[in-house]
Parts: sequence; C-alpha cells; structure tokens
Amino acid sequence: MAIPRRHALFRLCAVAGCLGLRALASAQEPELYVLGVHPHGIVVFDGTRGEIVRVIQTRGRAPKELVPSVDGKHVYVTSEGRAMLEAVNLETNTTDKVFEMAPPGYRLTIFGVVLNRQGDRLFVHVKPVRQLIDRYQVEAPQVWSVDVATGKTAKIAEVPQGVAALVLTADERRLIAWGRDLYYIDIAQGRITNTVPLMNPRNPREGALNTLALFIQFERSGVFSLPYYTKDPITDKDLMGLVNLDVDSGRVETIDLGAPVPLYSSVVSPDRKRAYAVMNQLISVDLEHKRVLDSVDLDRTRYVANISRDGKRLFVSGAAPYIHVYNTDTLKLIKTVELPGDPAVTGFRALPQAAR
Amino acid sequence: MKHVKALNKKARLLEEQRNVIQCEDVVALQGSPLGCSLIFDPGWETDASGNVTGLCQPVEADLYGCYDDCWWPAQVPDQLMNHLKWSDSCASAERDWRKLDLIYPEGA
Amino acid sequence: MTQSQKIPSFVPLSSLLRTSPALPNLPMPHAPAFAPIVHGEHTGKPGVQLNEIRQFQIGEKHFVFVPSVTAIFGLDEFSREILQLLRPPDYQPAAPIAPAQTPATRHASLAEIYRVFEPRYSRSAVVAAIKELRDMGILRTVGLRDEGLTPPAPKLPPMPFPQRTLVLNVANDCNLGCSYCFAAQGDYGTPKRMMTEETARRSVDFLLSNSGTHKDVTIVFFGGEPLMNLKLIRRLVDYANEARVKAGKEVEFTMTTNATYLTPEVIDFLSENSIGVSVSIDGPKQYHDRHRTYKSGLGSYDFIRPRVLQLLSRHKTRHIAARATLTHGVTAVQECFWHLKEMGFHEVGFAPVTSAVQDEFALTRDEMWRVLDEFRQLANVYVQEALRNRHIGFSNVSNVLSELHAGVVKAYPCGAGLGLLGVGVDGDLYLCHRFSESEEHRMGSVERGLDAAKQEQFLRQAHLSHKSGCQTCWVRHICSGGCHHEAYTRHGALHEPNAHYCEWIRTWIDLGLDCYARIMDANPGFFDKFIDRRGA
Repeated sequence: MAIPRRHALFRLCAVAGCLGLRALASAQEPELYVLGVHPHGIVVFDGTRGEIVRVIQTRGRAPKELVPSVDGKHVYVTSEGRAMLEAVNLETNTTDKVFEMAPPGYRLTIFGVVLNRQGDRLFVHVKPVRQLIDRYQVEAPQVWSVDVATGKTAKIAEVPQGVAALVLTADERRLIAWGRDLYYIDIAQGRITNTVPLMNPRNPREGALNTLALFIQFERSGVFSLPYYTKDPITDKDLMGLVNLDVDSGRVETIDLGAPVPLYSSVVSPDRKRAYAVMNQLISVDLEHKRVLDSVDLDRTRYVANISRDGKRLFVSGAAPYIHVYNTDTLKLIKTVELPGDPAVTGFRALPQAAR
Repeated sequence: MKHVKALNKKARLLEEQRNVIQCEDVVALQGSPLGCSLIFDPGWETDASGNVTGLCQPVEADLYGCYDDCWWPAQVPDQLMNHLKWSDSCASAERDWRKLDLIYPEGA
Repeated sequence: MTQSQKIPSFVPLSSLLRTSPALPNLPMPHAPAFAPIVHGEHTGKPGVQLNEIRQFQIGEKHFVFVPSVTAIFGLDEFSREILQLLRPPDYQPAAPIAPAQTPATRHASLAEIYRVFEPRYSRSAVVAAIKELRDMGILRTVGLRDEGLTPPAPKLPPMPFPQRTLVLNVANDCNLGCSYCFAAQGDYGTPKRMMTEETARRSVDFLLSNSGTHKDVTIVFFGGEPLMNLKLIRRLVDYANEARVKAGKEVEFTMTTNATYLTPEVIDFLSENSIGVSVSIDGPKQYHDRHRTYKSGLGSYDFIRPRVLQLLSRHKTRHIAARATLTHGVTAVQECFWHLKEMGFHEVGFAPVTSAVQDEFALTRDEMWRVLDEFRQLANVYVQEALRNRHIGFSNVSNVLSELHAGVVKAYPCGAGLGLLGVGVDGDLYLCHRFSESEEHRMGSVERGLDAAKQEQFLRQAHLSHKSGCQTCWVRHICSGGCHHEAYTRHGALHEPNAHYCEWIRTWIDLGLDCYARIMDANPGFFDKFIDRRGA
C-alpha cells in the first residue's frame, strides 16, 4: 500500500527535526493550559499531548484565580485564601513578584483579577476587612488598578457586595464586575455607569438569576458563560439556563434551558456554537438552537472545563486530582491525567499561543 | 428591642450584634460572594430533591473546594486567620486525608 | 502561674509534635449564641434565671447594669416585672458596698411565667421579652436548647501590643519637696540628672515604631519637674514633629508640672506647640501649702498663683487641668474644686492619697468616706449642669462616666505595661512613671527595646482572673483591682487587688452609675459632646 503523502511528510519532519515548515510546525505546537493545585502549585498542562508539562510552586497556598498575560510569559495568581496576588514567571518557573496591596491592619480578599493587553496594568476587586483589636470590620468592596511594575494601587470605584469576577472590555475603557448583578464600570470616570440585573430583576415577573462567578474561562471564545438558576415567579417552577457575556463588547445574552441540573461552570466553544457545562454531569448545549444536546454522568464531581483551540476536545477538572479529556462531539472520555494535588476552586485557563 | 433599652455603647453593641444575626443579608461572610446553597437549594446537607446525589461526589474531593473560600467553616480549623497551614501536607483530600493536621487546645 | 490557672490557646498538633513555635492566636470576635428558645424540647427542668446583674432605680425609672459585659440598660414595666418574678420572695437589693450581686435569683419555669402574665401578655410577647433579656445577658434560660450570652474565657492581650503613650522622666530632679511625692521629692532616690537628647530621640523613635496601627500617639513630659529640662523638651518636640511625618502619625504632647517654672516665654512655647498641661495644685493656699513646699518648707502657692493665672490666660490651644492631691486633714473637696475653677482651670481632678497607713499624709478611713460624700455632692452639681448641657470639668466623674459609657471590660486596671510605658531618665522602660527607676519593674530600654518576656510575665501575673478577691465583685471589670503601684506600696505585690479601698470604689462606681443614668435619660447628647472626646 502506498504511504499517503501526508504521512511521509510527517516522518521527514520527525527524522530531520524542525525544517521550518511553518504550517506543520503550528499543528504540532502544544496548546498549554494552567490550573492551580493544592497545596502550593500551578500545573502547566499540554492539551495536545494530554500530559503535564511541569508543576510550578507558588508562594501562597492553593492558587485560585489565574490570569495569563498576553505575551504568555506570566500568570497572575491569587492564592493564600485569595489574600495574596503573585506574578508567576512561566519562563523561570518561579514567582517573580508578590503584590503587597493590603494597607496596614487590613486583610484583603481578592475576587476578580484582569490584566490589560499590554500587561502593565492589573485590575482587581478587593474585599477589605479591618482587623481591629477586638473585632473584624468588613468594609465596602472596591475595584483597584495595580501598576504591575511598581505595585502601586489606585482606587477606581466602589462596588456592591457579591462581586466574584472581573472582565475588561476590548477597548479597555470598561470593567464588568460580575456579582449579584453585572456592573459596568467606566474606568476613567471611576464609577458604575450601567447595571444589567441578574439577582435583582427590575421586572417583577422575571425571576432572580442566580449565578456563581468563580470559574472563569472565556479565552477560547470571548464569551464568559455561566449557568444560572432561577424560579419563575409566575409558574413557580425552578429553571436554569446560561448567562453569556461577550467579553469584548460587554453584551449579555441569557439562554433558557429548562429544568435545572446542578452545574458549576460552563465554557463556550471557539466557534460560539456550543457550550459545555459540568458538575456531576457533563452537558453540551446547542447555543444556536438554544437547547441541551447531550448529557453524560460523570464518575465524580468536576468544577471546571476548558476547550481546545479546534473545539474538538474538552478538558475537565476540579475537585479530585485529575484532568479528564473528552471528545466534544460524542462526550466520550478519551484520557485521564493524574494531578499532584486537588485542583479546588481554581481557574483552568488556556495560555496564549506564545506561551511555552 | 421593645422592652429593654440599650443605654451605653456596650449595650448598643450587643443590640447591634443581635440585629445582625437576625437580619438576612450576611455581609460578614467575607469569603465567598455567593454560596452553593443559593443555587443548589435547600442547602449543604441535601440537594433540591432531598437526596445527596446532587451534591458534590465524593465528599472528600470537595473539601478544599468547599471550605477554603469559607463556605464550610464548621468542623475544620479556621484557615482564614489562624491555622493557615493545617492542610499543607495533604495534597489530595481523597488520597492523603491522613496527612491533614489536627488542632488541639494547648495542654489538652 | 499554676497549672490550674493556665490560659488556654489553640495550637496545631503538628507543632506540638515537632516542638515548633505555636501559631499566633489572633483575637476572635466574641459572638453570643442566639439560637431560638425551643418549646417542649428540654434536658432537665426548663426555665429562666437571672444572671449577675445590679438593678437600680432613679425616681420611677428602672435600670440594670450587667457586670460581666459592663452594659447598661433601661427597663420598661414588663421587663422589670419579669425580673421581679425571678427574685426570691425575701429579696432585698444588695448595697453597692457588697461585692457580689448574685445569687439573688430563683428558677422560674416558662409555664409559671406564662401563667403570671396571662391574659395581659400573650405567650409570644412573653417569649419575645425573655429573648431580649437573654440576648442582653440579663437573664439566662436553663434546660432549653441554648443558654444565651456566655462571657469569653480570659486570655492575654494580642502580642505585640501596640504602644500608645510614653511617659518620659525628662528631669530626675525637682525644685520642690512635696512631702507625699511618690518620686521621693523628684529623683526617685537616685542621683539627680537630666535626660539626654539622644535618649529623648530614641524614646520618640521607640514609640513611633512600636505603635502598630495607632494613628496617634502621646508623649507625656514628667519628672521630677519636667520644666527643669525645657531645653530638651523643645528639641524633643521639634524632633517628634519631624519624625511623625515619616511615620504617618500624629503626636500629642502633655506635661505635668508644679508651675514654678512658668514664664510668658515658656507658656507661649507650650501654647504654640499645643502641649496639654496638668498643673499639680492642691487647692487654696491653706491646703496647698501643707504639703507642696520647697525643700526649705516654704509653701509654693503664692509663687505659683500668678504664674498659673498667666498660663490660663495665655495658653489657648489646649485645656489646662488641675490635679489636686487629697491628704490627711484635707477633705474639703468642694472648696478646693471651686477655688481652682475660679482660677480658670478647665478640669479639676482629685487624687486621694491612700498609700501605706503609717504615712502621716495618707487619708484615714473616715476621711475617705468624707471625701466620697464631698464627691457625691459635687457629682450632683455635675449632673445638674450636664442636664443643662454644660460640663463643669470634675475629672473624677467624667472618667468614670467615660468608662461606663464605653462599657469597658478591663483585664487590667490601666494601660501600664501594655499600651503605656514609663521611660526613666536614662532611657530604661518601666511599667509606668510611678515605677520609674525601680529596677524590679524595668522592662527593657528604648535603645534595646521592650523585654517581651518580662512583659508577658507581668501581664500573666497581673491579669484580673488571678485576683481571687475580685472574682465575684460587681465592679471588677471597671476597677480591675486598682492601681498596680498602690498595691505594691500598700500590699507589697503589684498584682494584689487594692482591698483597702474596695468598698469605697464600689460605692463610687454606684454613684457613677446613678449619674450616668440620670444624664443618659434626660440629655443623652451630653456624652457625644463632652465624654466621647476623651478618646476612651
């Protein structure tokens, strides 16, 4: 049987090493992902080959939010009970810098970190607690900007309680704080200019949409998607759906899916046609026709999933120390990779192509 | 309060604490913005249908996910302020639960 | 400290096994248990009992003081009746002099209480009232699912405790020879000398760097007679004003002086730098000159009077206080008070000498009670003026009102050895200024820092929970055993309670409670205006 031309080219490459055939080289480029593991680590995972590339030790315990920089050189990580913000260098595999942001006598809890495209400015949402001699005093949550080079912080705006995630729009003029509602903050003006209601609907005939913005992975599609749960005030029925936020434009869409299934997070495919959500089941959703396509039971609870660049493989993790690789069409388990520790409430982010 | 009037600052503090505990919006839970219990009614012990199948499985795998952001403060040492390193030796709760540290009163 | 008195703390097992240092035990907020009363669910006989409380009444109005938390409440007719119901039939209110206010309670079941109040109040109204009283620590439910407010277990203050105040002995010398001086006429029995500039600067640095998150600190110029070293004080003020900017804090200055060195120039310096002044002056000449004399025996009143008047008219930036010491033969408090007020002092405070009985100038027992009587009469005037929204500046009353208003629960009688330290003339740290130059009570130096081990030893020994005589006393959280130095002088040990004035103190605090309730009832704004500013 004649060897198909395609295979001959591959073998040539493998024998002769990289000959600079760019098209082939990019197909071989690893798709890298990062996620946090207990007690002190970040795992760099090669999604193409389905294996762990390396484990980086962080300064703080149990990394939670992970924010890769556009140049692929750093990941900004919240750890130590979300009180610490560190810059992990992916080239040297150590923490370059820890941002000391808490004023004396305060503990900060950071829920929501974004980095601008240039990589020189971070935006964080902090919940300050003042540690007095005889009590803890909870103060109003705020959004700050952080200069990456100097570590200097500047207050941008105060936000209501309940914010868990931050998103920076494409024009970098607005921050969207995902809390009980969606708060659109104009950075230059330093105030909330618009609110899209979720938990506090303006119309009494709409139910409150209950979302949990702890699992943030929208880099493949540009859509930040979360399952929501609600009770229809008219029929008194429990319902669920997805809230999809277009990160670049800030536009929000809700997709009703019917009877509720508990789900922790969802991720949208690169072509924006599908969404996948996990908890004790893995479900796939047709976003065009707005319905649940398929659902499989999982052997254990999973928190978070991310998707490959070609949309064909789903990487599922969270809770137990494994990453499961699924085929997105058939929802069949392809591979299981063991992790060195539990990935708890952690981000599972795709690194930009430049990252190694 | 209707029958007892708080006069000095300490009395007013006690009254304030009483009101905080009785009021709905628990701002003091400064760990997590929203908890599992809001989505998965009625609460931690059972899922919406009254069973446990809708809860996190297995329960050990959910330990770090559940308590570290302060959803599950009971029966685990306070890792927010006091015992920050009690789980450092236990990388995976399901596998390494024996390595979880125990906290004792001194002299007990 | 004996094993049975050990204060518990929590450590991880791993640290016990590896003998590594225990993790810091940060203060936990004390949250009372507010579980609901559950009817029909009980272990043992369910019912209600009174906690340790002191009830008092002013005219027709009823009040209650809860000693365990120093909380003061007004009662309406309903809650008063509930409390009445829980008193034994032969109950007589205890005199303030009596240390313990319990166990004057009986156990009443809920059923009995419902019966008594039917049909005037419904069961749910009764339960609601009981819950209020329980949540405020006035009574407790027994044999039901929750027992209400539980006072926290005693524990040491969090370490390192931030410093707030330093009392500097800038001049170990004095030009007067007042007979009752605790500093042995100015030099504490050690060679006369002045504090050096280097020591003064180190003291400022020590205070600023050890003040934790306090935004403001206080430096007190003391001695001997501090104005004998005015040159140093000027330099220190300049240095402190500079150093505080870098530290991002405010520094407040005060001074205690015998007034003999006051000149217009000195007064202007004090006024320009907002230095608070406390003048040691015992009243009109016939009282002042008994003990506040030059070493020759000549009285100082005539010399200081014009200088004090000048101080009062020229120094406009701070209140000027008079501190009058009451000694054997001098119990005319009101006379002294009005004399000093007439001179122009904004505040007058009295310090009765109660030290060793053998001393010829200590007040006798009878004289102490006469002083209390005078205090009572003056306190009445204080209250009357307070109802007219005026503050007459009787410091003894405003101090006790301030503590009652805040609801202090003190484990120690004062901040000595905690947030307040004395600095001796050579830069050594002492518990407070009264212990200056006392080797036994040295706690380190401004140069080398505070001796943490000695401090901890002092704090363990002097903790209220170790004063066995105090445990059932209803004013224990306000008095906390009284002045360490007085106890040391009188009883030989600073951690002994000052048992010789227990009854006096209880009567005095009772008087303070009475004043508090009268003012709170008719002019509650008085406290925000005049009392809170004291920065309790």
